[in-house]
Formats: sequence, C-alpha cells, structure tokens
Amino acid sequence: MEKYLNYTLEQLLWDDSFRKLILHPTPEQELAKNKWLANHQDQAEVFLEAQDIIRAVKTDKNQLPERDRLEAMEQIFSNTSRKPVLQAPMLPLTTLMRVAASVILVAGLMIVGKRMLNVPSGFIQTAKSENISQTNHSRVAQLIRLEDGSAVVLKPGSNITFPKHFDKQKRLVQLTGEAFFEISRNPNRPFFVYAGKSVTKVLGTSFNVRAFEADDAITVKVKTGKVAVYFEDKIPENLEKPALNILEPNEQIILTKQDNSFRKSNTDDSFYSENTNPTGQQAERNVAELFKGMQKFYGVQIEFDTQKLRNCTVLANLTGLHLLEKLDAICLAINATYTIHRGKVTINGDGC
Amino acid sequence: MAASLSEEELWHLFIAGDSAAFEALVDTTYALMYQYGSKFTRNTDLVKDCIQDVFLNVWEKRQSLNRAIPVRAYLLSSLRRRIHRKVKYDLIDLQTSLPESLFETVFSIEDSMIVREESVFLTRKITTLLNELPQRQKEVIYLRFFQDLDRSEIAEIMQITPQSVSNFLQKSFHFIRNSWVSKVSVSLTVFFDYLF
Repeated sequence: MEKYLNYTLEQLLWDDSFRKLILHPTPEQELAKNKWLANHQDQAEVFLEAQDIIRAVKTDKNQLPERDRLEAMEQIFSNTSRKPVLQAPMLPLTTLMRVAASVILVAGLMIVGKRMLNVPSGFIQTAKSENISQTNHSRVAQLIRLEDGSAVVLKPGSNITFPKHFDKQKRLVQLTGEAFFEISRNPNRPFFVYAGKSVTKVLGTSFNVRAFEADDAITVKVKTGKVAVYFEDKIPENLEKPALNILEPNEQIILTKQDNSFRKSNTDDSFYSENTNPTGQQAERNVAELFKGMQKFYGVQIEFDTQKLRNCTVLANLTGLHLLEKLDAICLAINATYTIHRGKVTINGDGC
Repeated sequence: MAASLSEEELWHLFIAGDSAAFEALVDTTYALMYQYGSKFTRNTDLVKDCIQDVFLNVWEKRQSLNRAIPVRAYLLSSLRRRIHRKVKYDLIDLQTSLPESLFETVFSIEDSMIVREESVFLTRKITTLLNELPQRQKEVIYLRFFQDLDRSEIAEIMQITPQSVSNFLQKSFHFIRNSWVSKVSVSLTVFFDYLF
C-alpha cells in the first residue's frame, strides 16, 4: 500500500496491482485498504477518485443470453466431444425404469460415468432436451436445488441427471458418484435415486448415496426418515414391490457389486447425528456462525459479508430442517435473500 | 474460493485426451470469446459460427497441439483471425473498402459505481478520451485492462510485436495525459472566470 503514497491519479489508473486491488481484492486486502485510507486522509482523495474511475468505466458487454450460450455450446459438443457413434449417454429418465435391466443402459451409464468422473475440472451444466445433467468438477461440494424444493449436495467428481420437470407420480434422478439428499416430503410422489446397481426410494427424508464407478460397493446412509433400497434388477416395472431393505435413521447398507450381497449396519459416522449439527440448538444464534456451521456440515460453500452480518442474530429452532429450509428461514429473519450459482450459495443482505 | 481448475490445467487434460476437460474449457471461455468477437461485427451468428470453428479446429488438432501455450490468447487470436477472414470476404462481396482494423467498442460509465460526487466529472472526461482513441489503441487498452492480458498475449492475439503493443499503450497514455491536462485546465479557467 505504501508505494501508492506518491502516485498521481493517472499512475494509479493504469497500475496493474492497483487495479487488481480495486477490482478483485481479497478480504484481507479490502481490510488493509480501508485501514490505510483511514490513516492517510491526505492521499485518500486521489485514491478514492482513482477507485471510482476504475470501477465505473466499462466497455459494452455484448452478453449472450444464457440460453443461447448453452445452445451454442451444445452444438459444439455434438460436433466434438459427444460426436462418437454413441449418441445415447443421456437416456430419457422416464423410460429409465423400463429398460433398467438392459445391457444398453448399463453400457451407457458406464460411458457417462467414465467421461464425467475422470477429471475434476470446471463446472459444466448442460440442458439436453428434457434432462439436466450436472457434474461437479470442482474440489468442493456443490448445492443443487431441484424444482420440488429438494436439495442435492453433489460431492466432487460426481454427476447427477434429472428431468427438467419431474413426473406427476414420481421423482427420478440418476447419480454417478456421491451425493447427500434432502428430499422435500411428498408421499404421493416418491423420490427415486438410481445409482449404479441400486435404487433408493424415499418419501421425504435426508440420506447419502455413494456409488462411484471405481468403488467395489454402493453405500446408502440415512440421516432422517425412512428409505427403501432395491437392487436395480429387483425392481422391474412395479416399484411397489418389497424392497431389499428398509433403512431407519443412522442406518446404512453396503451393497457389494461383485456378488450382489449386502450388509446392513449402524452408521458409525457421527457426522450424521443431529447433535453435531450446529444449527440444531434452540437459542439466539449469530447468523454468521450459523452459516459457517452449515458450510462445515454440508460441505457447501456459503458466501456472505462477514462485516454486514456481524450483528445479525436469529432465535429459532432449526432442528430437523433441511438446508434450503434453514436458508429460507434465516434469510427471512434477517431480511436477506440468497442465490445458488454453480453450486455455491451467496447471501445478499444489508445486515441488521 | 472455488478450487476449479485453471484454463491451462484444463488445456493439459484436454490434450491428454480428456473430453470433459474440453467441455469445461468451452464453458469457461465461451462468454469471453463471444464478448471479444462481438467487437468486430454486429452479426452475432457469425461470431457464434467462428467460435464453433475455433473449437472444432482445436478438437480435431488435439493430437498435435502445443501444451505450453497461453490458452486464452491462443483462442482469442484464432477467433480474431477467423472473424477477419470472414468479414473480409463479406466486404469484398459488397465491394467496400476494408478498414485497417474492425475493432469497435464504446467505453461508458456505470454510474452506480461512483461513490464520490467529485469523481463524476473526471470519469466522464476519461471515458470520452478513451472513445476518441484510434481502433487499434482501443483494442490494446481493452485487452490489457478489460481482459487482463499481458503484453506478449496481446501481441499474439493482434499479430503484432510486443514492442508495438507497448507503443500503442504509450501513445494512448500520452494522448490521454495531454488532452486531460489541457481540458481540465481549460475548464478550471472557465470556472475561475465565472467566480471572479
């Protein structure tokens, strides 16, 4: 900071490090900057003037609407990365159950799985006709809100495919990799997770499914509610058939792929017990701490302005609420809003 | 901070045969390429076509691509060349003369970003001056300060030497400094005249 002391306005305007400081400061830099300004009131005027100019001058953006961009990218992919003879990695989910046992699907899944899982990289979201496929190429978990208000915390290296609009009778998603689900309750519209050789059926609950291509086994762990687990080939067309097993909270089932055997046990994982959920207690809680706790618990990034939310507290019992419900409740209480973009939650509020 | 891979890392993975990395690369660079391409023509379909051509070409040549190039500069320069070629053909058809550079952009002001009332005047001034720059100087300023590219990357994109990039920048600064000083002092004189 000291080096800017003798800079003229013009020098500041075209200085790389200064522009970076203004346009993309780290939180530490932002703090240091404010402190510096407070201590150098004589130079502050030039500094602030340069800051205003750098922030305000822009060029015409020529932005392509997101829909057009996705469409254009889709066209590129269909001529390159998705061109090979196999044009069918995305089977419509509605027919998924009917052909569940067929070889084609398994082959298709393996191809998607391979392609999606090989590399952790950026984030791709593609809208293909009726299905949405999302892959987490980053190194942190990503939050996805489904149209029915359910939340999926997609773990790194995982892919989830779901229809743009769910069926009237059932909600179906297809998972490769690992995800934690918090499903909004709707007994008339059961929720199915199709993953590898397993199908998990729930009515409204939270649970984790781990089904990486490379793993020897598939694991389903239940946090709350009841879930029914099926082997893929055990549920032909009738989904009301008896399940392989019913899991209660804090139970898990491990399906071994090789011999189709399974083992049920209690989750040793204290991660899933509600006590360790820091948002669970009924007390006046600092909002920033709540967000931090949720971030840790779900592994999802929650971005908020620490300074602005410093004085925000809520008095609420959040026990048993799902992540999206907690976010709704807290934001309502402190008059803030939130957005989910690329798997990350951003809280927008002016503070309390 | 999201720990996503950089464009360079994606490039390496893509050349190593990873198609998901290719898709991620398209995803992260598409908006930027579109933005830059649109500065040369108002025909948005042409821009999209050219971007597609660039990526199809990159995909087909993936076996023989260089791992160690600055990715963004490489993509932007390929795009620039393609658009120029296409627009040139169009212009020949129309029998119009070809301008030296096609780059066109308008610098403007985002009022909401200005905190201090006093800055408004200066910001307007500098924006006006930026818009008075010749096309190629504008392009260098745009790439340097609005796309955060360095001297050698800009040279690669515009097909000129790094020294020319520096010259363009110096010229622009010089122009702004001179006009700025004279205009500010003129308006100050007027202001004082009014006072006394």
